[in-house]
This record gives sequence, C-alpha cells and structure tokens, in this order.
Amino acid sequence: MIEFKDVNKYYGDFHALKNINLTFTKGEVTVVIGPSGSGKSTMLRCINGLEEINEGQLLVSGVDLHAKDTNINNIRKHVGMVFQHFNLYPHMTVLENVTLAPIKVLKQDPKEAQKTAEKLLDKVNMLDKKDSYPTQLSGGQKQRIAIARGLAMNPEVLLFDEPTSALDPETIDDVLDVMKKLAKEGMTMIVVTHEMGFAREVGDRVIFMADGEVIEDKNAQEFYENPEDPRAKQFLGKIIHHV
Amino acid sequence: MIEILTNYNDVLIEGFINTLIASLIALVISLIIGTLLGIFQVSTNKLLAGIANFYVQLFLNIPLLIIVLFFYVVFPMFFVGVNGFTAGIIGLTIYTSAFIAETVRAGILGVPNGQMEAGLSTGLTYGDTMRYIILPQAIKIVIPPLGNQFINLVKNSSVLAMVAGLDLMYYGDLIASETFNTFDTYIIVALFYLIITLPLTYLMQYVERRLAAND
Repeated sequence: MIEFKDVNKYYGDFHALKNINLTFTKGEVTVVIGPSGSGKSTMLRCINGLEEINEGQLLVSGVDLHAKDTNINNIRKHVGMVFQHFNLYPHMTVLENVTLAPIKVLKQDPKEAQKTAEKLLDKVNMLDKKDSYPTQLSGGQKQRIAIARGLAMNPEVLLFDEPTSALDPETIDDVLDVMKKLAKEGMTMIVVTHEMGFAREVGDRVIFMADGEVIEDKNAQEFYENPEDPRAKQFLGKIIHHV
Repeated sequence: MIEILTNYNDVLIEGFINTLIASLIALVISLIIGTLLGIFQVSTNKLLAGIANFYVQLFLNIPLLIIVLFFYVVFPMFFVGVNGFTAGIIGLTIYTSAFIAETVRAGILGVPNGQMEAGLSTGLTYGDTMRYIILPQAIKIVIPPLGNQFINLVKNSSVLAMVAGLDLMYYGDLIASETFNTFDTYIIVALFYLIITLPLTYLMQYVERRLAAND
C-alpha cells in the first residue's frame, strides 16, 4: 500500500534520502532503526507529505504523492502520525484533541465522534482523563492520547516517529503496551524507534538505515540473529549493550 | 488650571471625544486589516505573502505624519478632498495595521511548528489548522504586545492636531495659544490622554491574567 521507487531527497547540498526503494504492505509492522541523521524520520515524514521528495515516485494507496494534481489532504486522512513530542493541542481537552479531525475532516456528527473517541481513549487506558488538558498529563499519557487521536481517523496505516524517545523511562512501557496491542490487532504500522524489545516482540520486519540509505531490510528475527552489514552490527551492539 | 478647565471645558470635551472616536475607529479597522496581513505574511501563497510583506515593510518604516499629510494634502489633489479628522483616521489605520500585522505574525510563528504538523497530519487543511489550532494559541502570545499597540495608537492620534483634526491635542494647542498658559494646558491635555490609556493598560493586564489562568 506504500511504495518508494528510487526516491531521493535533498536538503540543499545534503543528500538526505538516497535511492530509496521500499514497499510496505497491509497489516505489516515495520520497525525502522538507524543512527541519528540516517534519514529514517525523513523517510517516514515523506509518507504523509510533511517532507517533499525531490526525485522518484512515492505511492500511497496507489496515489503518487509527488504528482502535481495530488491533494495531499486526501492522503493524510488515511495516514495517521504519532510524533516524538506528541504535539497535542494544549488549548483543547483530551476529548477535543481526539474529535477535532473526525468532525472537521470526516464531517462526523460531534456526538458520534465523541463516542468513537471515548472508545479509543478507553483502548489506550486514558478514558478517565478525557476532560483534562494536555498540560496536566505526563509524557506517556500524552503519547497514548496522540495515538488515540491518530486512530480516530481510522487510518490505513499509523506512522510513529520515535514515539518513546521523549518519555520518562517509567512511562515508556504504557505506550509500548498500547502499540503492541495495536500491532496484534493487525494495524499497519511503521515505527521509527530504538525500542528493540518492541521490534522483537511484534515487529514483522526491520529496516536498518544509515547515511540516507536502506542498508538492511529483513525479517525481524533474522535481523537480530544475523545482521550482515558492519554498521548494522555495530549499531545493534551499542543498543543492546545499553539495555 | 481650574480656569482653563471651566473656560474651555466644551472644546476639551469635544477634543476628548474626537480623540476617542478616532482611536476606536482606527483600532477596530487596523485590528482587522493587521490580523489579515499577519496571517498573509506567514501564508504559503507567495503572492499574498509578498503583498503583505511589502505593505508591512513600507508602513513600518515611514513616519506616521507623512502618511496623514499625504491623505490630507496630496490625496485631494487627485481625488476627493478629506477633512483633517478623516485623513488622520485613515493615516492612523494604515500605520497601525502594519504594527499589528507584525505582532500577529510573531504570535503565529511563536506557536511551535509541531502544532501545524499535527493538524496537517490528521488531514485538516492549512486553513482549518490555522483556524482551530494555530490562531487560538497565537492569540495568547499576541495579547500583551497588542495592548501596547493600542496604547501607542491612542497617543499617536495626537498627530491629528497637525491636520486640523479637532482632537484633544489640536484644542490643547488652541487653548495654549489663546491663554499663553502652556504649562497648565499641556498638563490638562496629558491628563485627558491618561483617562483613555490608563484604563486600557489595566484592561490589558486583566485580560493577560485571565489568559494565564487558563494555562
């Protein structure tokens, strides 16, 4: 459902993505890892048009994102995103954060949107905070609400951009548990993360990126047991030593 | 001082009311124009942004008096004549709009970029993201500097005196030249300005506190 064909991306002289060829299929949980500056977040952000590609083709549900007549808003309806820094709307309650897009974009009836939102908040164990404001919540709580906000659009795929990197260690598991639950329910997910436990438990596939290139792309278990590229070995070694 | 107040209370009150009216009209219109210009300045539409930037840079950087005199003296040579009061209001509005645009632009840019990205990523259009997510947050940032612009506007309205605008300053000058009591006259005029600007200052402080309480 998502296809990168010879995609290149530049920031001025900096070649951020080099000839990326990737295919993501429905129901697949992909974990993208790599050192910082490797282009993994950039790759992810291209999928919902927050970054534009310079060359190549990027197809999302059959639509070419790079084509001039493509309305990016139509793509974004089907592609949810969870950010490292949550980006909840501070002037709205938790419930309003979740219902805004369904009401304004999908034109859902507010009552109906609220019902759906409550179900989703219950799913991420945040229903009791539905009337709170984001500033009153911990990072882990905020991130779970951000996940509910993404789910509220009933997306075909959910993108996660380092969802646990800005969290206190003790709240990470709450977020990972929710993500694991989604993965097991068959949600299509592309997750940029350093959480190897998550990758190992629910990841179908691991993509290792470095210097704007896809270095390895294989089954998660296989990647762990047998990373081929020396950069992947070194990176894996560093991460595992940390844990 | 009492003498001036009793002998000239009618013109002082007329000047005070005219200053108040000029300030209010200029405030409301420049708030609308300035807010739109500020939004255009950060717009992704290059033409709109270009026009707004040109306007703001132009009127931010020329003296208010020139704009007012232009409408009082130059404008009537080609179009219809305008009286000093109207020319003054037009000049004040054009000038203040540029400052309000800058304030609004800074407020919008003060909202973290992630908010725009979050809105867009849920499928909201740029316009809806601005309306429901960015602007409500920008307002809180904008209120304190906007209050300063309002107070500046009231004080700047004294430029009407230069084009026979029948405002407080104009009548102040008139009284001073008739009585030769410049000291008392200008103190009285200053006090009249304070009657407008001090409550405005306290109002802005109150609004600021209310907004802070909502955080």
